[in-house]
Amino acid sequence: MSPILTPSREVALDLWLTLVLLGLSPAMLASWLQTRFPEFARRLPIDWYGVVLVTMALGSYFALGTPPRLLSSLTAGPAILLGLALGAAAVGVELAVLHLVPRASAAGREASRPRAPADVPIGDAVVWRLRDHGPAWNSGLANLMVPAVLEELIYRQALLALMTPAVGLALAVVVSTFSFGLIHLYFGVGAVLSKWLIGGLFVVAILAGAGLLSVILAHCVLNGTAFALRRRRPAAQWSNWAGRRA
Amino acid sequence: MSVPFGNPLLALGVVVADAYLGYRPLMHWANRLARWSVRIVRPRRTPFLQSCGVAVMPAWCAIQIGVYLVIAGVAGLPVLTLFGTRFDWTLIPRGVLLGVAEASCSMVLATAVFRLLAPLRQAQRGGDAAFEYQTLGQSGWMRSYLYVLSRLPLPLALGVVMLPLLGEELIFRATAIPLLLPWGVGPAVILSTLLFTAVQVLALPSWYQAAGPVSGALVMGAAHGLLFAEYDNLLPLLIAHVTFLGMLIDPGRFRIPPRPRRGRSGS
Repeated sequence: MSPILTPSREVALDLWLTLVLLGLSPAMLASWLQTRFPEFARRLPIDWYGVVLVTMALGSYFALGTPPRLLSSLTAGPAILLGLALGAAAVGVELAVLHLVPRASAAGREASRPRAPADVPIGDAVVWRLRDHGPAWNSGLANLMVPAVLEELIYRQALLALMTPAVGLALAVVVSTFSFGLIHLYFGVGAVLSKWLIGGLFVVAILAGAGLLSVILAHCVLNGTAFALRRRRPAAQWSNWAGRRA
Repeated sequence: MSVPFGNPLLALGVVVADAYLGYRPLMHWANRLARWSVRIVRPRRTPFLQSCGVAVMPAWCAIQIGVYLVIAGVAGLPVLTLFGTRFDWTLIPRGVLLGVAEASCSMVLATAVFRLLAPLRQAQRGGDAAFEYQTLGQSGWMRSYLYVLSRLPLPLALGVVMLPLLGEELIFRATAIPLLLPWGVGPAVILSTLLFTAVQVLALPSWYQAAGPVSGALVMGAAHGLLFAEYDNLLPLLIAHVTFLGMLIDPGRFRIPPRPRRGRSGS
């Protein structure tokens, strides 16, 4: 069984371009939607980022004409164990990179701070909701785990399946891993670097036959650990922008 | 494959000349045509300059259509089938989605470019680079689009804004791609994208402000070039272009100070 999902039909070029371009920028689109339609997002259990990811995942698998494949060469039990091990490895990589990479200077953050009051980075919207509601099943937990599941569906399966027939496996892996790192830009350059490494680790696991279930579990472990560590900060430091208030 | 104009270099020259003429002398003639038409219509509620800013859009589009018809007649380019041989309604939502995707990708690229350029600009001029970028974003040719989107009723605004975008698609896709295809799809897309990117910096007050439009032109030029080379249909590209503009230009932030009343004879 090929580790890369095979499309069951040819994908139209315009649809292919739409999905690939969206795959490079879901967080930016979500920030734009959050800025333009903030009230609408408050009525949803997940933020605009989750809405964008759901739309991308549905669109990608519709274009591919095949449902997501959770298991590859491993059965469920070993896949779960592998997922937990990958998650622990990912946490180790994240902590090591964030420890080694110096944080962006205050001047640099201030220079790129959004000026208009309505500009809301999607990361702020997500962390405020987590801070205010905690990991409750209907809000915080959804915002913690849903992006993890969807990001893996998109960046470790759908995008690879879409791009590999057109540009080859190597370029598809590079583009999807690069995009995966870039969508975490809100959390700083260190987070982007760590996500590149973690994304590469997950792709290697996929290509080695790990299956999507393992990397989804690993990502959930990573997100849960990151949330637990962030909760230890004072509330005023939850936002990555100096001086912002919810 | 027959080579338009019998020579690829000549075809390239025609494409470059079409772009240059469209944004220099023909733009000048479009402005004259717009001023002439506004003097005839004499709108009472809108200042003269703003009225010209609106009228230049259909004027320029009309001129570009004329230029395209001439080139199409000489080079054998399609005219009646530019928007497809039959109407396919699915192209409209697909065009909108493509425009959304292009806009979000352009915003990522522009943000990255801005973060790279902001320290340079600050070293060059001092002051607040981010604030300068947001202020400059309302100047140059963007001002015309902002004015139309903020002052006219939305359906009319979209119709007016669509016209210069149609002109751009005629130049950089309908003309450039078929004429440059003898060079190969890749070179045709790259050359048309470079031309499209180059004209974005025209009529902008500084190189610093051009970061945003250049980022958008790179993404859109490549995507639209590939799509036109594949499908020869301008309709989804035009819809995507309008969607792109609608997402990136925020008329809500555009403010014209109220004009002091001078009586009915003022214009």
